[in-house]
Amino acid sequence: MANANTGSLLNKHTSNATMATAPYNYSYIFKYIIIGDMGVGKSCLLHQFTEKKFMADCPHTIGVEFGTRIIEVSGQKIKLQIWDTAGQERFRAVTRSYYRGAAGALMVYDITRRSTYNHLSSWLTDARNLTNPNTVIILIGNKADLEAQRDVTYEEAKQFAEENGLLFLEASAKTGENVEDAFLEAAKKIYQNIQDGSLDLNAAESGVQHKPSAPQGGRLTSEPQPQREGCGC
Amino acid sequence: MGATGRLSGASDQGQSKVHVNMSGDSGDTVKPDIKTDVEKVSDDSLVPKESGPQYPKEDIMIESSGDGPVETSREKGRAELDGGTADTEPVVITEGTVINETPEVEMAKIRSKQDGAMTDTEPVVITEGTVINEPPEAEMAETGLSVECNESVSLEPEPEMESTENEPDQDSGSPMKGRGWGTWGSWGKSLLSTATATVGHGLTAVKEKAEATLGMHNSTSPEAAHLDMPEAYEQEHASETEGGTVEPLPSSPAAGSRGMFSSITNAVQSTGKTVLTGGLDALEFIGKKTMDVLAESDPGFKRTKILMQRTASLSQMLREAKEKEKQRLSQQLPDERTAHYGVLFDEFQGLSHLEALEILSHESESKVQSFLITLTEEELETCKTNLIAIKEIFFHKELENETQQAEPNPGETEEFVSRLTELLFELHVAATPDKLNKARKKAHDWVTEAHISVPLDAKEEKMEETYTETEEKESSKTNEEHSGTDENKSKTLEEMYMLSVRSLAEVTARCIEQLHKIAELILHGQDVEKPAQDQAKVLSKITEAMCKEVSFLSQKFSDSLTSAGSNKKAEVLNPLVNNVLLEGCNSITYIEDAFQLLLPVLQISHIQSSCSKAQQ
Repeated sequence: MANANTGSLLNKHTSNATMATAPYNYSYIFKYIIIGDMGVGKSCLLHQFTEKKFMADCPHTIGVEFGTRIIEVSGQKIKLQIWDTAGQERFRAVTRSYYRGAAGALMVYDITRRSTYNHLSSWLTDARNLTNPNTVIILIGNKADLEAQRDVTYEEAKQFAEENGLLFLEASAKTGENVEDAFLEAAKKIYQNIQDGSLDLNAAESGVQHKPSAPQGGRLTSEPQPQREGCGC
Repeated sequence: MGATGRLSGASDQGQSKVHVNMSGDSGDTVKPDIKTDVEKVSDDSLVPKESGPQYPKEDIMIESSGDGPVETSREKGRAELDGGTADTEPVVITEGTVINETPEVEMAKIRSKQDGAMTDTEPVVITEGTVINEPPEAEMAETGLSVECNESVSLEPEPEMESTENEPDQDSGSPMKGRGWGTWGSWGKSLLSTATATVGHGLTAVKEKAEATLGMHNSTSPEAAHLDMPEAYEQEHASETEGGTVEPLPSSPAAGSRGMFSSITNAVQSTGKTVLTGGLDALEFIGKKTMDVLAESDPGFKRTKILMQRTASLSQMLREAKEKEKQRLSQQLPDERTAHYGVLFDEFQGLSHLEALEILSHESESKVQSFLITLTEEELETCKTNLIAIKEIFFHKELENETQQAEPNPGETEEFVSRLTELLFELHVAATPDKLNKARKKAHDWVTEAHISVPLDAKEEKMEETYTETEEKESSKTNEEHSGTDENKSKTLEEMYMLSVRSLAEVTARCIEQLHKIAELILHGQDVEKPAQDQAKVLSKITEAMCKEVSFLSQKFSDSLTSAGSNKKAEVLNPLVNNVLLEGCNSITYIEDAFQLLLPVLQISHIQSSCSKAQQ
């Protein structure tokens, strides 16, 4: 259908789309969930991560919203399918339904509000109970730009993370600080789990789908595709 | 549970169920195991039912009667086991009304003859006043499955069945009258019922053959009758029959469902084979539709699916299809990719919302099931009545729609927006249609913009506009050929096509999102202010409005493509126009599927709110 004369037009559209040419060739899809109290900035983190922009007045999330972005870990393109859950208590029952099958979980609190930190154990319990044992959980102290209003120290959070075997970072959805890293660190860890075999891709709950890239015709990527697991189709 | 579940699930079973009961009553010697019943039921699901026009039936009927000695149906066979025999061929079942649970079964069965010799060819006429899906309590009690069975019956969505049974006329009657989704809905239904009927007939034929050849009257292993290629398997089956291929009792639901499923599969396979001789049309129907029909309408299978960790969920299938498409596309020029509907639909998070909605739907369904198990019989009855009432709203929407068709023209610009807003308000959930409206506006805007040169009301005066627009196109054509991009006013055909597909994908994704949000809001735990039945009605209207809008959009897109491409060759233009219309239908299917996913959500919401009322 594409006539030569429309080439430029189409390209323009392509670039507008979130999926440009290259991203078609990801090898894995990781499901992430973002959890934590209302107002800690979950949606803002997602927005910053996917759009590279800070969303100043973000409405309350209803149930769950989605974001996707393709990242690269060790030369592998990975598509993150991110489930940004509502923090409001009243949605808790609904959002719990969405934990299942997550490969990664971002557990967020607000460093300026101690209560959000105090609730972490409840979020962690849910995350542990409703996901699989290999799910990588990363603790994120958001609003790191508001140093003056800090209510939770880095050290105590770090310790909490260590005690519970979580990755940990302080980030700012506003400035973008550490936001990329938060998502990337979790992805690296998941990828590492895949590499060392501790995450079984064939398990329905792994939260990872392996997408053997199509033969590229040499056009786009030349990285060797992992041959190991996943469906060999 | 499988038993009843299946019953209700498969579409034609109203009467088959009856057979089962009858057979039980009629002093069947075999009361041995539930299992048998279960399987039987599944057979029943495939038993022919008469309602409505089904073309393939003819072939098969002829064929089977041609075969000579025949037994009609398994249940019957069973009932008459003792008599050792077979009834005959053409089975005419006349149905009055079929209701999920009517306490009494009235059935006049006239069997002209039945002796050991299965030569009779007399028609068996079964007249049913009221057919019940649910067996009388007493019987159920015997089987020991009563509670489970009953539940599943009420819970399961059984669109095809219900509608075909309850509104036999509708399918054949005026499918084309309805606009928008009404049309599609009834079309789908008639297709389904036809397919089901086809299978039923084919199956009967097979069974007849099998039983005739085998001289087998032992109904304890119903499966035998289903096995493929009766002649070939004769021996095998005979032995199997003796041995009683009885599967484990359905004490574990999973086993039950699977057993059932496998027998259905067998039935389907054998049906397919028999029908082959009957006509390729029938075969095609079966091949393409049967499994879907069975799977969709069969609760047992659904459960199995859930147990199998939803590996076969709709969103996943779509996702896989999309991935494949992506792979294929990745080898093409990037330009061409952008027009692929599935990829775009995913890009707009349509798949994600669908997946999330599915999760909610499945969870609600299992909650409903487990709640019902805790009820006493009386409570169960009441509860079931309510749940069924909700279900009926979901499956009877077309009827209402037909009467509502007098509403303002679909797609009139502001009509959809205000209607949607109003309906959402009526729903008493805090859902706002902002995103959907925005997407929809965007869609309307570009297509209107495509006609920008014409001072027009694109919506009302298509004809006029078309001509003018064409001229405009031609005049600027040369220009475009050189630099497609910088023409704002008129777009190239390809660009219009892509925008059409993209817009459809976006609007559809937003519709799904909207329905998903509604589900979340219904489930979010606040007291429901509006009875679930009312919500169901409103939801049905919302879905209808969405489908109408989408179909209007796709029509509009294809119209503008047609006018813009009037100077192109048909082989260039037609595929584009067709694709747009096709994706429009595709969109409607997604939306309707999403709507169906809301049923268990409303049911559990109803249960929860009535519980909290009871507590007060």
